[in-house]
Amino acid sequence: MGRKISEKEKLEGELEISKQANPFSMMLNIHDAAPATEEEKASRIKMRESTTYWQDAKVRFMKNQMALFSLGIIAALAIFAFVGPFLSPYKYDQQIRGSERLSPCLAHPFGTDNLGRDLLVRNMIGTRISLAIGVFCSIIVLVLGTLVGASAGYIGGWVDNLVMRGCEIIYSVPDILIIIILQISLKNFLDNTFPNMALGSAMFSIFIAFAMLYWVNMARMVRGQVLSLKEREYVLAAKAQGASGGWIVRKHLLPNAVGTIIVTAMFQIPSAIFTESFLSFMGLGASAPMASLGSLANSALSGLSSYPHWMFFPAMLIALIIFAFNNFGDGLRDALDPRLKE
Amino acid sequence: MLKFVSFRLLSSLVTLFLVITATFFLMFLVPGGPFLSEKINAATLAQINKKYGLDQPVYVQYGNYLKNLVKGDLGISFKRRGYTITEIIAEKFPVSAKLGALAIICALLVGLPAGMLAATKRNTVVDRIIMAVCTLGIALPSFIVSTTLLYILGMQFKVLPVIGLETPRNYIMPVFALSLSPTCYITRLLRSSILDIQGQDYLKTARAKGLGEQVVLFKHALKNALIPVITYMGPMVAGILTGSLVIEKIFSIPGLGKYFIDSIEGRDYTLIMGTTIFFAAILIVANLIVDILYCLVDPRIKY
Amino acid sequence: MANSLLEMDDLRISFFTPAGEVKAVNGMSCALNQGEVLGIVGESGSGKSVSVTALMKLLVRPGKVVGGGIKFDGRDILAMSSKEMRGVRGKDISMIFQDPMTSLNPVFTIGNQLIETIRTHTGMPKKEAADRGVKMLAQVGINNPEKRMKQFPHELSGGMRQRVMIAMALSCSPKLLIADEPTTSLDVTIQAQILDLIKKMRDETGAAVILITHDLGIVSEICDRIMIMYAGRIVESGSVDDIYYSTAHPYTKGLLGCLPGSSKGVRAPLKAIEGNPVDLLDMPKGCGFASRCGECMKICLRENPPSFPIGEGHVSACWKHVPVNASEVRP
Repeated sequence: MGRKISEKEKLEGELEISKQANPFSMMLNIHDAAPATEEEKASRIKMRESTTYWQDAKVRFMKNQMALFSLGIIAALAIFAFVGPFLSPYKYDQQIRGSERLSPCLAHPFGTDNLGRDLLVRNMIGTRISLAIGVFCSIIVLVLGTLVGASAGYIGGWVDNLVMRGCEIIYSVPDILIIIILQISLKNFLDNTFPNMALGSAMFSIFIAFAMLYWVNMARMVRGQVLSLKEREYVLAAKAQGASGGWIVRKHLLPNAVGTIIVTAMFQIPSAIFTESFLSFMGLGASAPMASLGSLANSALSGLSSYPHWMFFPAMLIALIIFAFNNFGDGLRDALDPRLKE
Repeated sequence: MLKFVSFRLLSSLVTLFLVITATFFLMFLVPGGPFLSEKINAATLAQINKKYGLDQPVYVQYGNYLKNLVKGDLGISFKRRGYTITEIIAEKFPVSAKLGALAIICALLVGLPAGMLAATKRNTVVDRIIMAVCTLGIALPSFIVSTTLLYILGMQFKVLPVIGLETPRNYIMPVFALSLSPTCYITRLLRSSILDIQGQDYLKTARAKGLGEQVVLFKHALKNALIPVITYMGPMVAGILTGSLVIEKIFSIPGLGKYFIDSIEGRDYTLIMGTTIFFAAILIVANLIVDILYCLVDPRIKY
Repeated sequence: MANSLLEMDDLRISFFTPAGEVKAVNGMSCALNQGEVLGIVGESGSGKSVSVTALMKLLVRPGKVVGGGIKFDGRDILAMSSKEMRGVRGKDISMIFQDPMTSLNPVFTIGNQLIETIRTHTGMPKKEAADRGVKMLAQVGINNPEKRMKQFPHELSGGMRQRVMIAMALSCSPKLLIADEPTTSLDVTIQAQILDLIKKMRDETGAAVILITHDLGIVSEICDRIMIMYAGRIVESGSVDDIYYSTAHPYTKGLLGCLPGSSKGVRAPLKAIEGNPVDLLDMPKGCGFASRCGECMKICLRENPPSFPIGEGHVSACWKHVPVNASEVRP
């Protein structure tokens, strides 16, 4: 619209333009001094369309090729882990006599182990455990961490002090040690309570330990966010209008911290997967015949010089999973919280 | 400063005490006691339990354990007869400590310059390569790095020894495997914190004063950029400590980590307890040192 | 104008962002005499800070000088090597910034940062530089300067820190001091003190001062001359009296109207300039202020007004001020 008008103006002023052939001389036309209309003036200002936070985040994420690629890998891994075992003619604990220690071949693309179990399906199950651990852990972290952190930050005082002391203690002891001690002490109890569990008591205590330990980071972070948001004017305004504590947390505090919360929960997935594979590799995770990627790598260690492919596939899968989740998390962080962009 | 250190020291002691208590009672939950699995008759079992004070009520045992602990006595090993836990730690820990210290030094010596290089060459090929290596290095768990190295360098090409720590060449693979992930992490951390600081007003001031780029970077930016790296030092020590468990297992290094893992398989409860407490104490001391360092670098911290 | 300290000639600066070229400064010409205090006034995004950043050669990517020239003390700033320029920064031209809370490095003591500046340009021994530093601190009105030298920035108040910044900037007796919104983030009472200090230091050292601000109220107190910027161009410049009492440009009138207490009635509501600034990314033809201007004419939408002299040293870039009896003007 604005352009059109100024084009018209241009035509009207053609006479002057021809005179401008000499750049140092310019005749002024009396019509030029006529007041411009409001419309003409307004047309010069272009307002960019405003976008919402989520639209912005989506655009930023879609531009990030590395993150999209990682999302693709995660999707592929999920299909591999959750659909794959149904398509396989073998079961993960099925021992095929006479097919022990096979190299990768058409029937067994990942080969077989020393008991004649198909390693492809075992790796699929292992990936499934890893992904399940990761997702479980991030959900626990999301729920527990947010709840504890938000209430500690909001209530403040001795509650806050107590929670933060607790966090500090949990934080200052390595999780692996706590998990080991928990596993040992809970083993008998779990074996008696759930005798026929496929996962095994060691795996079960890993779940328990993760639930107990991993909310700490999230709680600290949410608390920090809440503390800084608490003093903002809009929270004060809500308070002045008589809003209740829980309502303020839900309506004002959490929506503002949601980007950081999602990112923190996301980064918990690779670190949980890492810890599980680490424990299983030390023989403290999944017990036979259940397979996790770490325990597959562990059993491959003794035959490393003769059967390197036993090690190759689980190692590749672990690296791929952690790599994909790390990059996806990075992409998500850059998209949701551009201030944190490296 | 003194006030701060003594406060942190006190809170460290409280943490340690809580860890000891939690460990003790969790281990006490294990039913049957440590000798149940051994094939001995009831009378002998009772005798042994009495000898080790395991027949007494839990609070007495707890009190005794604490009393001995203060004297530096972590009890005796149930499996390696005739040795106290303290003796075993004194024998095994120096091996692990040497490995861990080397890994920390390597991580700092490589990670800090690499991070600065990546930051100064931002968005160039050098930066992209460093960042790609780091992304990979963080994603690779140490046990995968070490088994891969072990297979390629130790078994296929046979250029490096695969077990033990006899010669300096033995150290190459374990130290590399232990330090890879912290190195990459430090690189990324330093790079991003330097880039973060680039926009700060005080660097604008430093440049407006006519300082050279070198002084701006090495003096004004670096000291501020190091603060997050120092914060990471605590978790880094923890990571190297737990990493050593698996690295020592893979390379058959006779350190405390390997012994700890073996003692879990062998259910040597006093040793598991003693080592856990020892590891926790090391970490608490490391965190204390990091906190003090933090205060020295950043004058804004209130004590 | 032969003996002017600083000359900017048709300076053009653009930022090359992914969205396109942002023309931040669009042909800025000015001259500054020795010992003169020049106020540059404009709203955010008018190009005032960017132009002095270019003068210090501290523009960072994606910002770039795309045209024009800067001469300081007879030397061509834009042609200087980065090493030569380092000798100028802090020595001949120094600068203080808007936020004293963040413009001192938090991890070094005041003394360290002050001594560093002095030694960089004079090569004095440490002891001597420290003495000079203490003297500078005393001169800017900081009491107990020996103690302050050993303190860290966070131990000082905002006003104190700005005094330190001024001491640092003047420690090598520069010929030009650039103050980029030096009082914007300070309390009103402190603002007045800092302005007084700048004026006092100018009188004592004879340094020329460029004072950048968005607040017309404060420039009147210490400036000899005022330049009003809008959308990367100088729209009006003149002496303080010219600007205040013979206000020419509609934008300047708008700005003055925004000052509290400028209207006749005591209870008159605060005025604002209607509308939004132009989009520097896609500048329409003609005058940048046209869309917000109450006196906008047809020509304003089409041609950018050149500067028309309207008095001794008083110019306005507005088509309203085309000399009435002249049918030809230099664009």
